[in-house]
Amino acid sequence: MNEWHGPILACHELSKFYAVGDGLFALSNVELEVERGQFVVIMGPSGSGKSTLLNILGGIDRPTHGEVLLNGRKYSRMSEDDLAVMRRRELGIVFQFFNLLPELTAAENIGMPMRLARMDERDIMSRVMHLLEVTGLTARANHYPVELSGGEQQRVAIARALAPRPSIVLADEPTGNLDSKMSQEIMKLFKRFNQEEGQTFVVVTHEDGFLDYADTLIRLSDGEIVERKVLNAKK
Amino acid sequence: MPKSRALLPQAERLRPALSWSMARLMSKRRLRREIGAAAVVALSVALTVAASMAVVCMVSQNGDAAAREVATPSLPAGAIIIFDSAEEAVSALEEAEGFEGIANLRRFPWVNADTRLGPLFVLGALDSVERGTLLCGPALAKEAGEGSSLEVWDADTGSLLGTWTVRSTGEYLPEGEYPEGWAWVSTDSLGHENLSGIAFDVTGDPSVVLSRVIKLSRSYPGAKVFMDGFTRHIVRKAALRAYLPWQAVSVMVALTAASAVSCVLAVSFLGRKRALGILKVIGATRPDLRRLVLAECWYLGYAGIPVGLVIGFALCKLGLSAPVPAAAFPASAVMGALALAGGALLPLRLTRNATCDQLLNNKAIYAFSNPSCAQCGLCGGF
Repeated sequence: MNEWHGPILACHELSKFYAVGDGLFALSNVELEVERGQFVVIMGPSGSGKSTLLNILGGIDRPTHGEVLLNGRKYSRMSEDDLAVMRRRELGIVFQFFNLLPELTAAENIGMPMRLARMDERDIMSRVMHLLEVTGLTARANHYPVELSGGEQQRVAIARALAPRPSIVLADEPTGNLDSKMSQEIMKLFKRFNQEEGQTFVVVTHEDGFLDYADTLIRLSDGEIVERKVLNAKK
Repeated sequence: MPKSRALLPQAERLRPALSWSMARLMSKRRLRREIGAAAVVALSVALTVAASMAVVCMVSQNGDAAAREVATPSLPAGAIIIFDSAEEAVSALEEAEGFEGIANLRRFPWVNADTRLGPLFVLGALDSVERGTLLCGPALAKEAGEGSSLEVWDADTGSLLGTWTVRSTGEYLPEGEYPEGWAWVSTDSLGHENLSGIAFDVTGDPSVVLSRVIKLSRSYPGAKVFMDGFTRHIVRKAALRAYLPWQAVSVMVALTAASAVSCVLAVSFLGRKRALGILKVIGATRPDLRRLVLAECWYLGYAGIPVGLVIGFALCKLGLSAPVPAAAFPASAVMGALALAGGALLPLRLTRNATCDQLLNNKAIYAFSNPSCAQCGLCGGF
């Protein structure tokens, strides 16, 4: 499936304009390329366009101008449903506020993207069990999100994003709602999957702790990339 | 910029990936959590079903059933015949085989018909024939017994009209020679036990005829109804006119229920924009969301329709004292399903138009268009 040898995720001349008040450029001419297996951290002050960028990279929002390509496929040529199908196969997203489906248990939440990807039920079950074990949630498998703590919910959300083995995982402040101990655990979990399963991560965060795990740091300010820094180049 | 790859296979986004079992599971749990809203929708559906059943019963009791029941081309024994003209009556009798048991005891305009039609007896009613004489063609007079006596009963009242003497015309009278006001009876109709058929014309007020048919059909449980197309049309029109208020009530109830269902489903849909957005984020397409809405409707119908049938049955039996025809059950259930389907249109439309961003970030969703410029929200939307 992955015969594409270019950057796994790329965006070119990306701009996002909001027609509120006098108008606001949330993003302005952003150029970004993410290679397979990279751990990219995007940082910047509040309102710098980090979340907007991540939403556009995830196909949740559309840019005003510019192009995004995931595994060589242009978002601009895709319908809403094309983007959804692409997300179910190739892209996992983790949010700050977990965004679990309230009517499903932890195990069902984790299994849902795989069910949408029409994977075999036995593979789904074994993958769910594995992810529950890795995230330390085996005992909480049959609990609904409201019965889980914030940290547990976030681990379920991460397991759900990683479940169908996507090429890339986008995370929008995944530790923003957690205490420092839990944040460390989440960071370790990301790095573990990055190293063991070779998954690419793009993480928007305020948390400096992520820099210890990141390969690349991108700093945004007023919708523009003001710094690109290779922290820990892949061999 | 690198060269772009081909798009994803179309089939994958057109076919829902969310299985029915998973959609039903999610819907069931959600409805359980929001039991109040679910109860409102289920009750709306139930009331639609009950009202529909009441209307079906009332219409059926008062004539629609008679209008619907049309016999086969050959007239069965025990037929009640309604004709709107002499020509059509004659034509129907000509086509019919073995039309024994046909009697008419009222004035008919079709006395001009030729007795060559077959085993018809002519009942003298004017001065030219002595009252109390049953005049018939020679062959049939012979069969009945020339000079024999036969009892004639009134089909309307069931009372004995008198004893009639059978007389032969001696020959078949040519067309047009029978005086107006004559009517025909057959031997089978001359005793009350054998009086199994009555013929009417409907040149008068169809609703009067209709009520008479209903009344008589109750007196003769084995009787069947035969009508030609035009008569059926007249009778139906009369039935419609008579029960228009009921039908209007039925439609109003269905529309009200559909609106209530639509509002509750739409509010329910909007109340979980985020959950639907999350589903889209993890790969659900529009067909998947549509399946989720339909699964919810399925459950609401599953609860509302049987309850409505029970309420409707009780209403018909106890409140209206009307018989409940078997057809009322499927007809009312279909009405409830239609109200539910009508109510689901708006949420389905919203599901179709909603983007991931609108759902996830609680932005307005537009039912009839999705303007890219609607950042300000001035265009409305849900």
